[in-house]
Formats: sequence, structure tokens, C-alpha cells
Amino acid sequence: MAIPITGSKRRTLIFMVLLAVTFVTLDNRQNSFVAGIRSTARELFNPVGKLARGAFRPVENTWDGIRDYSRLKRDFEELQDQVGAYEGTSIAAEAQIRDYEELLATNGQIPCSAWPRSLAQVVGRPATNYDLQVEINIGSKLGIATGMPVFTPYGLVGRIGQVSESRSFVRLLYDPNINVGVNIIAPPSRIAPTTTTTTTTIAVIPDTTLAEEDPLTSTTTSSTTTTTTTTIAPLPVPVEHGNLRGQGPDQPLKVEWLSSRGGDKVRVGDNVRTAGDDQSLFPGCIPVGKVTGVETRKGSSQLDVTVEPSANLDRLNFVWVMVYLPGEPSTAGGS
Amino acid sequence: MLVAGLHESAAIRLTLVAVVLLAVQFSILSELRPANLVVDLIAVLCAGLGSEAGPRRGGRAAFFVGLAFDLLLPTTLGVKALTYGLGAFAVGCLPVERARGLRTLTFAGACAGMALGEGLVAAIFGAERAVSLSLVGAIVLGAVVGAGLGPVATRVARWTMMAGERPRL
Repeated sequence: MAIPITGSKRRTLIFMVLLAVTFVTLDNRQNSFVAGIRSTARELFNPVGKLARGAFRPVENTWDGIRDYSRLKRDFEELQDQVGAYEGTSIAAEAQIRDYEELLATNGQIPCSAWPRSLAQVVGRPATNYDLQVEINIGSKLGIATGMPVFTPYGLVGRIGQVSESRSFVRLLYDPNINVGVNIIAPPSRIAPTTTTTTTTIAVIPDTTLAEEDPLTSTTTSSTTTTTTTTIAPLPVPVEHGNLRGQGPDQPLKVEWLSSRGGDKVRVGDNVRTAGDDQSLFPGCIPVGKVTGVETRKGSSQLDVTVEPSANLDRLNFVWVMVYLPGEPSTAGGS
Repeated sequence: MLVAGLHESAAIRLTLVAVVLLAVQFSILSELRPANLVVDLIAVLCAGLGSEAGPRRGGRAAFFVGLAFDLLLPTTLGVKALTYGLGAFAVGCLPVERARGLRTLTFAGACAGMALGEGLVAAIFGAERAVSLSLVGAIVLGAVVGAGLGPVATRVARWTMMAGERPRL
């Protein structure tokens, strides 16, 4: 049975569609008035949201307890073991990081610590099914701007999307709208150490003055040979350069447009790190993840490389926002 | 005015209900994610608004609620407003007698339709991967939530839009 849509109903329908299309157009054109209204609305809603989160926290904890108790317990025990192991190696690691940053500086590259960073807490997860952004509790008041990289000690998380005064949204790495220039780096275990053998021959020249004085004196020449073998520990060298792109939640990240076709250079287990080219959206020092799959695309010599992010994007709590914008000079020292 | 045609007290109640439900949506419902999906409580309310206030008033009220939701989201402004507005309009257009007998089915269908519509509208306006396998899950979840919370949404919508007036049903 056809449902009649009379004149007034039709007008309402047209009114809604036109108004929605107007909003979409204004928003897509990044209209400052619309952006201002959204920012104000978020600031006004912020206390209500905070109150609701506080009120529902026990319910969330109970739900997590019911759903994840055994996994959380196992994770906790594993983490305790790991903390013990890491404490022992952290001092040596810090020294190595300092050495690495000095090496980068020597080669004219800027280390991560050159940019100040702000600590933030994730206060909201996506509220819809097709939105891939989380909300953090710092905004433009602390100098946060759209495009800044967001990371944890484990690796890159994403970049800042929309910003209001005291809140920002973070586009997560698995968002298909994010593109990151990356280097795929072979781990030191896969690179053979460099062995240099230096042979030095020192010739002992006879004293010719004596010979000139006494031509009957015979002259002899002797030499000493010294062989030095030096083994240099391997440095992480990028084996490939490409463009990393998300494929949606629960999907691995994908590296496209690799710098060389085909290839036996990329292997499962290789490290992936931001490339940090000139004008890149990310500085070249942030770990991204590990290669989990390498396949040759059908009908092409192009490789499909899948990457597992090293940061856990589903369980984010505290994150760092690097005050980095492409092309802007760094400020020495972090905050 | 977006909510033109609403009595002043109804507009105030609608704002109040929208704020409370948005607070719930942005706190507990964005955290409790069955199968990594979000329960859309606002969609159920909008179906209720269409059912109780008819296509014109219900549609406009749902559009207003959707716009408020849009303002707080980082996604394209207007997608939720359009989806909820059209969803409520469609529910309001259904003959009352049929909806009364099959209320649960109506709400399930409306919420599933809004989940599908949202994915399609978002994809049209540039959200990549909005139409994916997870959309099927969102549609199923929408149908289940709509069927389960339909009666509650009806009462809330009736209180919001009809208090002091003769109920439509």
C-alpha cells in the first residue's frame, strides 16, 4: 500500500534534506562559523559528558570485569614479569637512545626529542560505528593543532583531527583517511655485521748515509706487516620506503607504493618507522609497527605489505601529542 | 526554527531528553561495545519521536536531535541529522493501526534502516569504509536494540512530545 506524502509532509522532507546538505557542504568546506559552533557545543557539553562518564564508571568497570577478567588477570601477571625484565635493561636502553639521537644529529636528522610534547588522556571512544576517532583531554589552549602526531611509548597512534579549546579528536592509524610515509627497516639480526680487515705494511728503510760513506756496506730492507680486523655492529638501514594506510578497525595496516618493485628485501618481522621526509606530516623517528605479511599483488610485481601497529589502538589511555607541524622548525628540548 | 511547530514546553523537554541521552551515548555506550559496535540509543528515540509525533513534528524533532549529536561528533555535520530525520519521518508515515500491532517490528526495522542509512549517507559524503562488513553488524545490533528498547522509547517520546495533549495512539 502506497503511503501518501501530502504537501506539508513533502515540504518537511525537502526542508530536512536541503538543510542537511547545506550543513554537509559548509562542514566539508571547513566553514569557520560551523567550526566555531561545533567547538562551542563541545565545550558546553564537556561538563555533562564528564559527569556522565564519572557516574557510569562503575558500570563500565563491572562490564570490563565480567567480559575481560581472565584475560586481564593473565595480562597483569605477564606484565609484572615484563616490568621486572625491562627495569634491568632500561638504563642501557636510555644510553643507546641518547647515542642514536646524537648519531641522527650528526647526520643532519632531527631526533624526536627535539619537539616538545604534551601528555593527554583518552576520555572518549568513538560514539558511532563508522567513526574512527578518539577524544583526548587537551586542545588548542595547550597549543594543539590539527595534524600533530599522537603516539605512545610503543609507537604511533594517529594524528590530531578536529580541535576545540580543551578537547581534541585523534584520527587513529587504521582510519583509511590517514597516510603515513614510512621506512621498512630490517632488524639488526638480519643484517650481517661489517668486517673490515686492514693490512698495514711498514717498510724499514736502511740508513743511506752509511752506504754513501762506505759503499762496501751492504744495505738490507725489512718490513713489518700488521693485520687488523674490525667488526662493526650493524646499523638499522631502511630497506624500503612506502605509504602506510589504514583499512578500518580490526584490519592490519597496509604499506603501498613501495620504492622498489617486487623484491626480497621486505620480510615478516621487519620494523616499520615513520620516514620523516621533507614536509612529511610525521617526523622520522616514531616506530609504527612490525611487518606481518608480504605478498605479491596478483598481476603485478607490486608488493602488498601488511603491518601490525605496535601501539594498542583499542586500549588507549595516556598518549603523547608531539607539537610538530610540517615545515616548522623544532624547539630544542621537550616539555 | 528547527523545532518549529513544537510547543515551548515540548521543545524544552526535547532538549533535556536529548542532552541526557547524548550523555549516555558518549559515556557508557561508547565504552560498552558488544562485538566492537556501538549501541545507538538516539536512533531508538528518533524512531519513537516519529511514531508518537508523526512525520512532520517527529521528523523535525529527530532532525534537531541528530544535529545536536552531529555537533559533538568529529564526523561530517548533517549526516546524523539527515538519517534520523528521514528515519523518524518514515516511521511517522506508517499507518498507526499497522504500527500498533507490529510495534516491535517497526522499531527494529526503523533502527536497522537508520544504521544502514547512516552508513550509506556517510559513505556518500566521504567517510571511507563506512560501508563494510561491520555495517551488517551495526544493522543487526540496531534491529535488536530497536526491538528491545522500542516500548521505553515510545514512552519517552510520548512524554516529550505529547504531554498535556491527547495521545495519538
